[in-house]
Amino acid sequence: MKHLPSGSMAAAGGRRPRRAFLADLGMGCTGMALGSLLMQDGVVRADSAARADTAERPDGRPHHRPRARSVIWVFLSGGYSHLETFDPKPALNQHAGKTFAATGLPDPVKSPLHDARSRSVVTMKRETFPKIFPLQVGFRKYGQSGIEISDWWPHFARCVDDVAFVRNMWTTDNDHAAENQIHTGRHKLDETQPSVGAWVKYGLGTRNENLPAFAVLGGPTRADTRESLHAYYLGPEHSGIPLTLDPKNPLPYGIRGADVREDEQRNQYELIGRLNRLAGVEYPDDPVLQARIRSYELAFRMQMAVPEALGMDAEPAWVRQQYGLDDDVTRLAGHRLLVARRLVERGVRFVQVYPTPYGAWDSHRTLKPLHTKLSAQVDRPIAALLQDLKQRGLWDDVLVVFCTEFGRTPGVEERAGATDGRDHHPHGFTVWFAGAGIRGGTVEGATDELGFHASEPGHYVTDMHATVLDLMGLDARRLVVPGRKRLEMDLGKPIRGIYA
Amino acid sequence: MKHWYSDAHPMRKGCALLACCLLPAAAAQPQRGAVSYVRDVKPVLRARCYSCHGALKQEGGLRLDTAQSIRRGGARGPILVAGRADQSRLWLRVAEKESTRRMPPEGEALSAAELAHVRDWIGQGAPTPEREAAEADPRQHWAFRPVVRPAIPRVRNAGWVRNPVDAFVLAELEQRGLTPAPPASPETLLRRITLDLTGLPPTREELHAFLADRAPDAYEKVVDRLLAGPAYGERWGRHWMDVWRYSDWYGRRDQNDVRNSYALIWRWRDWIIRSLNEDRGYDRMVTEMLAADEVCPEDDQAIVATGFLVRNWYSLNYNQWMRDAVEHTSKAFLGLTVNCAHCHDHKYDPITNKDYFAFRAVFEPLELRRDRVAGEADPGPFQKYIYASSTAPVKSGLIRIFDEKLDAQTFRYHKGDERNRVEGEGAVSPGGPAFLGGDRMRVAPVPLPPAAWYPGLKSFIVTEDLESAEKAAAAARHLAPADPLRLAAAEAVLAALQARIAADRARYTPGGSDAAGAARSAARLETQAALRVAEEQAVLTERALTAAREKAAADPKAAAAVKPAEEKAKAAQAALSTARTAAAGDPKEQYTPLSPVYPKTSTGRRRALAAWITSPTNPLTPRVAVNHIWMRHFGRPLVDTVFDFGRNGKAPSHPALLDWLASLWVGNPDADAPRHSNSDAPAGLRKKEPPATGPAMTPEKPEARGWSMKRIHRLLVTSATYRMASAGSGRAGAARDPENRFLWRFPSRRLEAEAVRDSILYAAGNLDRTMGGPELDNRGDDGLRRSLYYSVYAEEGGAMRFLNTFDAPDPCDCYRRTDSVVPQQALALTNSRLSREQSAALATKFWAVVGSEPPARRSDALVTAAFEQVLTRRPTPAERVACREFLLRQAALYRIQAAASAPAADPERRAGESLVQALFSHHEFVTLR
Repeated sequence: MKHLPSGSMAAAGGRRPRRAFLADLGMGCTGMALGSLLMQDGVVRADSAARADTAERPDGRPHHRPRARSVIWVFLSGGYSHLETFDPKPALNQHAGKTFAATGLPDPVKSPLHDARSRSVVTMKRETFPKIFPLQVGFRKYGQSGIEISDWWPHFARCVDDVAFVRNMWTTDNDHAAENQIHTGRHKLDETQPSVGAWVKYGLGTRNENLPAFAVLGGPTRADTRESLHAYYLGPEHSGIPLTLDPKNPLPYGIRGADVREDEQRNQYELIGRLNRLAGVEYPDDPVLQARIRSYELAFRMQMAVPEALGMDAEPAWVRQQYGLDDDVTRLAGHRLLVARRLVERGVRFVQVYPTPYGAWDSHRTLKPLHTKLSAQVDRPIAALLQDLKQRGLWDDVLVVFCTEFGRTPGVEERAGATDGRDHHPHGFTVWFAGAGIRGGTVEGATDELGFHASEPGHYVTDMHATVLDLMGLDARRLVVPGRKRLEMDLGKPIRGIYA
Repeated sequence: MKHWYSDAHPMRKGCALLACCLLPAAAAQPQRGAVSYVRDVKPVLRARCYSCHGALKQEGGLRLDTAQSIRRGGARGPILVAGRADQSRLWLRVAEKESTRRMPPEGEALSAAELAHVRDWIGQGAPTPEREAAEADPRQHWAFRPVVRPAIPRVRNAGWVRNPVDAFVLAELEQRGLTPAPPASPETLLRRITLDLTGLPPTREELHAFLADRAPDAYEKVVDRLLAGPAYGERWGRHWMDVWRYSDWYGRRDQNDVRNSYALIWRWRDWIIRSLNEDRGYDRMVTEMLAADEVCPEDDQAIVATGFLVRNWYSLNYNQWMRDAVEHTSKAFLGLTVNCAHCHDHKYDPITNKDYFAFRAVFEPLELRRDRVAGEADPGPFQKYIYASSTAPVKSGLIRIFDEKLDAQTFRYHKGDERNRVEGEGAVSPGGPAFLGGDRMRVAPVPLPPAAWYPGLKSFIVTEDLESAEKAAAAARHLAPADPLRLAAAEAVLAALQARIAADRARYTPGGSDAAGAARSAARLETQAALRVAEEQAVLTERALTAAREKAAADPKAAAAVKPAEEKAKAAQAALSTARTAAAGDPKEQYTPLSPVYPKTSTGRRRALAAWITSPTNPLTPRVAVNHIWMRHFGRPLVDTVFDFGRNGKAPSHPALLDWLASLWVGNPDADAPRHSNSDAPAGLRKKEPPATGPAMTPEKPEARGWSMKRIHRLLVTSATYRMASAGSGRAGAARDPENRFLWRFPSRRLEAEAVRDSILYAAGNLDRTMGGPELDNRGDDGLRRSLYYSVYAEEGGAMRFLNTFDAPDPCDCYRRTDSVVPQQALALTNSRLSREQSAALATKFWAVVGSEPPARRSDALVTAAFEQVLTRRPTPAERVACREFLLRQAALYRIQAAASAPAADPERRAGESLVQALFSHHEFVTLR
């Protein structure tokens, strides 16, 4: 239960006394706090909002003491192979070329888990590939923890003692709608739910009213992955706001017209404020009008704050180099991750970053060259991000999540002549967490000897959401919106085994 | 100590405090000493146990909704030993550590405090309150009871009452010692009603005319004018498109791949607009959306209404289509969350899992169908999905549903996953929820007229096909040099077509002669035409091959073209040989129909559902719809949970008013007879009273009848309630009902996204009023049509960017809009091309008028014109001063800059543009006051 100062709401008929309201809206109040009022659906929509009757509306304050104040959620689209990144399985080399049945190990396809954790959107069963494909890369142990990382991630490997790996993740969509599922917690054939970033934004509001509280870099990767940043019934203002990397054109309407000067617009904004205040004489207790007036003040500042956050000029050359901005291979991922760091530094709650394009990791064939190439694009920048967060003292404030929509099959995908790739694999995959609230050098859970099934019960994708929300100080159960039933599966359970 | 995370604004504490108060006291503060069953135990049981052990269900024969019933126990005996928690199954089961045996089976275990309450209550001997009422029968829930028209309440301040709506509102106000706000100013009222009914602001001319009209019914005349205009259908069409989830096709829009909804669905949008403008009854609209193909199978204008069902189509998985059809048919029309009974019986309402599948069975036979439209190319038959293929949108024709699988069966499955079919159970019969009598729905097959199942009989198809065949023949005849092969082919095709049409006529016209002979003749002529065409093709491809070879001989680069040409020639030879065999064979009676042929009957399931939903005795349908209409006039609905009128929904703020409106709407056209504000008490409005007449009276139009939306609009917007001012500071209501739940003033609200954009264009005089047609590209800010004509779909890019900023509706779920206030809206209003261009355009227009005035009067005239056009009122003196100062300051700024960068040729004009743009950014511009 939240401990709140005692105050009589009952006196106001269960509602907040209007007078207090007015006092708060006076121009003398602190800017940052009022920002959360504006960016949230909280009080502004009190009179007419769809959810005005919600028993427990978020008020921007955490439910319990948070351990993280911002999240950088790194999503690699297409499904990286857990087997060639963070979950080595020597048995695959040992049994290379054999079928599962011939290994003498329990046949994973016959496990009841198989169908329970694989559901097709299209009305058909997905093929299984039982012939074992050996590991395409070597592994080495790193750090004091001795966690094994594949040779494709040399920079990141040096960070393992700061990272907690969860190796028993599972999802249910066996196709790329799983990209939505890992963000919303629902299979495409089930009713849609808001994305994890939207819940964070809804629950906590903003810490910097001049920037979007839920920002997205490099996504949505495609039109039909919009659900990954969609707030759905929480209301559109809680959806992720995609930002470009271009400070001159960061977001829709983010900068004034080319032929409009700053002083000209300042005059205009002043007039708008003055006229609104004059008209407000008749409506002194209209919170929406007050919010509108304030929104112009914020908007004027936002036009400078967003480009400033995206600007690279202030970053020293060595930092840019660290993120790989000096190299064509790493430039895009490095740029996005560096901007992500700049955003959380400025108080953005949730930054969803896509370092690689839609489906990039989808290695149905030629897994080896594809993964080699893509790992090289992300390895150095992600290691730089972790080091940078530490050196800037952000490590204890920022939670980093690194994930993909599913793993890849231990068997070789023999479809249409392919012989050197792996198919989609919802049954087991690896994600990792680092930073605020996380115990580094940890490995949580495992897949079976063949890297097929996540150990039971494993972690369904919403356990990641529960972990994020819990570390941010939120209780998912208390964010439930009336009339919008959430199932136990939607709420998930925090992965406490990786907590510091 | 202030933590870095406690950065929320103090004012938001208000909400938290509120939340606190609404939580059960037990949870709020653990009590010392005696536990109270009513205060501490019952709320926990209600929240966690009643859904299975209460009035709705009695699992294990056990009810926990009264202490008496707890003491009574269940089928397996007692569950409570007073004084001994450790021997009471009630306690043991909730305190169980093993989650598979613990109660409740879903969700987290009871909290330590909750457990302690249960334990202590039992420990204290389970004291039982006297006369504790059991949970009411769910069937007796207010929304499930028949709508009975309540008496119009008597009020003290009868003079305020303009129509019975006011009596209901005022009765609630008077009960709370509140008084209604004074009437809104004429300017505010005109702006309010115009935006409300058309989504566009009034023009200056309309403002002047209204202010000059001294007639007592000046306002009513405006209402009638607006309701009669086409913009009404566009405005309210968009509202209903929210509820009915209108969406253009999507799936993978960036790859031109249709997976959800369908191309051509815009015809349904146009049907909505047309139907509203024609004031088609709501009952009829619902019926046509669900079953136009069964109730008016030959009316293509109406059949596009089934876009309501097409919209839910999902190519990859038809189960999903069925699920969306169930969920949104029940939410939109019935305010029922039938979808909650997908995996198990409903937790709040008496809707069983079987009811869910019965509802689905109504839609089980569905398939899509593409029909031709007069004057448009044949879209060809509907293509079913093939794995991993893409389907591009079609551009012509219409899309609709039909019953394809007449014997379609529906089987239950578990856990919301169609792979888990319940074995050993028969098919579920179609029907609505049984507790509302939906299981008694009478389903009778609908025999269809021939042109409905065989569209080739439609006269326009016959005419157009003949015309095009004749044209081809005529063209072949006039070829120079003559091409006998082409001519023979074209004439043979024409002859075959004529014969097919004749055969159709013989077959489908009652009393037609020798159908078999005509069919044989058509079949024969068709094989001959095929032969002529094949002959022509053989020659043409041969010629092409020769040409390709010659070209290759001359130019090695052209060699690649030889092989395809060879293949084509070979295929043409094969076709020719097939055609020869066919022509030489026995004449058959089978000729190619002019269109696809569909089943001759429809199952009638949807017609039955529509009849049940729109039955005047259905308690939900009119309540739900009236609530939607009310919300869009007054900003807030009478029942907050607009798609859930079930037991988990909210109670109405004005139950009697809701029922009165619902009952009035369904029938009894005389009950809403308007009266003069100075006539006697509302008792005179009882339904037996003959309609009053007078200047305020709009004569009942012939089409006036039950379910007329225009009638309900007129009633609501001519009420005194609607005409109140929205300002109300210092009034009693401000303190006692700050949320204005009881309507002591008019509730102002932000305009919807579409209204904001359309109003800018309209005020600037640049709105393109063209109605209807295929959805327009939504990219960019440069379109000039009304917003509802731009594409909307549930994918990234599925809304105009400008609209998104103002909470554009989610095409998958928007029973109610949100209306946020965020800085991005300010940016859109000042930085968008739309706002800049339209501000400039409007300023230019004013300039043309005021430019010739002397400079002193010029700015004044400009300010007046801009206020009147943009905000529908004259500026106050203080506003005038502010604007004048602004114009001077901006102009001075431009003059200084002119030397350097010269942003505007004329500083004064540019200042005017800036002023107009500031007014578009004014709070009043985006607000319905």
